[in-house]
Amino acid sequence: MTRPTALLLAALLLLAALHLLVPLGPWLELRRSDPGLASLLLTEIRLPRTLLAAGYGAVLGMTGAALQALFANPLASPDITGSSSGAALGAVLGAYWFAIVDPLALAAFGAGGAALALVALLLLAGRRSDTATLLLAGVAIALAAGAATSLLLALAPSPFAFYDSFEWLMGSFVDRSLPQAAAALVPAGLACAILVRRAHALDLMALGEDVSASLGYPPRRVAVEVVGLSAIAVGACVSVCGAIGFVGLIAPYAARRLSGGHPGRALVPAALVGAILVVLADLFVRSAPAGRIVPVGIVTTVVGTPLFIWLVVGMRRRLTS
Amino acid sequence: MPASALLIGASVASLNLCTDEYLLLLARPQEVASVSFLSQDRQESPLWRSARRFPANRGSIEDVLVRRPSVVLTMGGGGRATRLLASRLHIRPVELLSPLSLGDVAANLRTVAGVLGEPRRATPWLQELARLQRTSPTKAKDTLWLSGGGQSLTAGSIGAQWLRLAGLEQRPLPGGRASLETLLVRPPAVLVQSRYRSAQVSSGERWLDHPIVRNVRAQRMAADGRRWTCMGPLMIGEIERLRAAQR
Repeated sequence: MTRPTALLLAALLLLAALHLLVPLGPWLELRRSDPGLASLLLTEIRLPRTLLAAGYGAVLGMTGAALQALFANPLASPDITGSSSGAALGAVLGAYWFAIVDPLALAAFGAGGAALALVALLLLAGRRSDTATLLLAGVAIALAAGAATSLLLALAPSPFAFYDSFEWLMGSFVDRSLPQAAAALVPAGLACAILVRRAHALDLMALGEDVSASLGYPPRRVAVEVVGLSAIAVGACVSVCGAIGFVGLIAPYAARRLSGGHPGRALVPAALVGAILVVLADLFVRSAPAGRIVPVGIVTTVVGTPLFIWLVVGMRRRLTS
Repeated sequence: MPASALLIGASVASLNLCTDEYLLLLARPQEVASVSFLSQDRQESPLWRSARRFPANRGSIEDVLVRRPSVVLTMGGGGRATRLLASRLHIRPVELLSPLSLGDVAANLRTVAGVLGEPRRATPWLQELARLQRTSPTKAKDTLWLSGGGQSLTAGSIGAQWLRLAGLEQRPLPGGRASLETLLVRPPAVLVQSRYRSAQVSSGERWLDHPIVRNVRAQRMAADGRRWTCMGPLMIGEIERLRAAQR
């Protein structure tokens, strides 16, 4: 483990502990009056929230880094490529049309939606597309999936579906349970573990498809694996916590500075940066004034949009210089 | 011994604006552990005065845990696992129906009264509902219920069922939304216009201020939009008022 990675891990553990304990007041009050309930507050309510915030952030960071390496494009990320929107579509279909409440089944619907979106991207843009084509294809898929989600909600049997889904789809970790955390993070964790094993293949693909193929990593197989694993990981998390934008874009950008530009080596640092960003965003959400609910996805989008614009402007300058 | 005596000390936390309505109407003050912050907003609930007597929550079970309720009332909740969490925390979760019919409203009244240990507390409300249904006018006027941006009710929805009790028949609209063209070409006999947050600036309110909407040739009635959010028992008074306005 490199020194920057160790520092990131330490920062994440510190923030996770803070996330688990803040706000301190209710926990201290319960510890005095009912110690059993105080420990249940930590293990049953706050622990799943912390695990999901850190885990989902890590998934976004790592899948963002993997997709950027695969598409050889710094603008590729689960949200820009439409896979988050696809996962939300799958989750809404499962929850409001098939009345699915089982977290694992809902996660499967989310993963299915994300996989469809990524396959559509591969078909529309191709794997080595230029930035404009990738962006346009991703935006088109995200818009189509978003519109389909709205349509499904508008036509849902329950007239309250729109209101009900608002906070969920904009990103929320509130009142998630340990089984939900397991449903999201076990498949996502397995997918990410396999992605880490593809780090070397992603590094080789950066040198060229022929290099990768000659060293035993057929580019098509690697592409299918990366897309499939990203879909499983993101889809499972979106179905439990909703869509959280821009983390998959920002985290790999920061991580590549730590990995010396090696896309494969950026996977783990990107996961750590992503986890830190989402835990921080959820801490911010918790400090929102009483009577106001701010979805996590809004916070990350507000922070991420300027960086996205900066990336686009930087690319434009390089192209025109 | 009355059932309520067995449940002395039972305290109920409601995590949703719509479940707040049932709790605030049926519970005694000492039985309410917490209500959602929305109920305390005068623009969201006609029960805001009563709601402000109790601690507010933001819909999360964590918010109400320090009040140590014995029951939490929920309805819907997107991706939340409130029921499971409540069970694990030894709190009885009670999920009310998102009402799709007047029967669902009656069922919710019975459920909450049962949770409070006195099923008969629901009786006056159920009797009022039954009376409204019994005395529902046989003929109904062609009606459009109208809110900001042309939002209306779907024919057959619970909103339309309530409206029918006032002798008003919601006209079916494509997408559940009224267009300016519809109001101009085929105005309804009665226009029931929601006053939900009407003092605030919004594109929906601007739409309602369009000359075509302002000058539509129909009998006009105002609706207290706050009651139409949840379509719960507070609608009984609203329907009485709409009936009286037609007399």
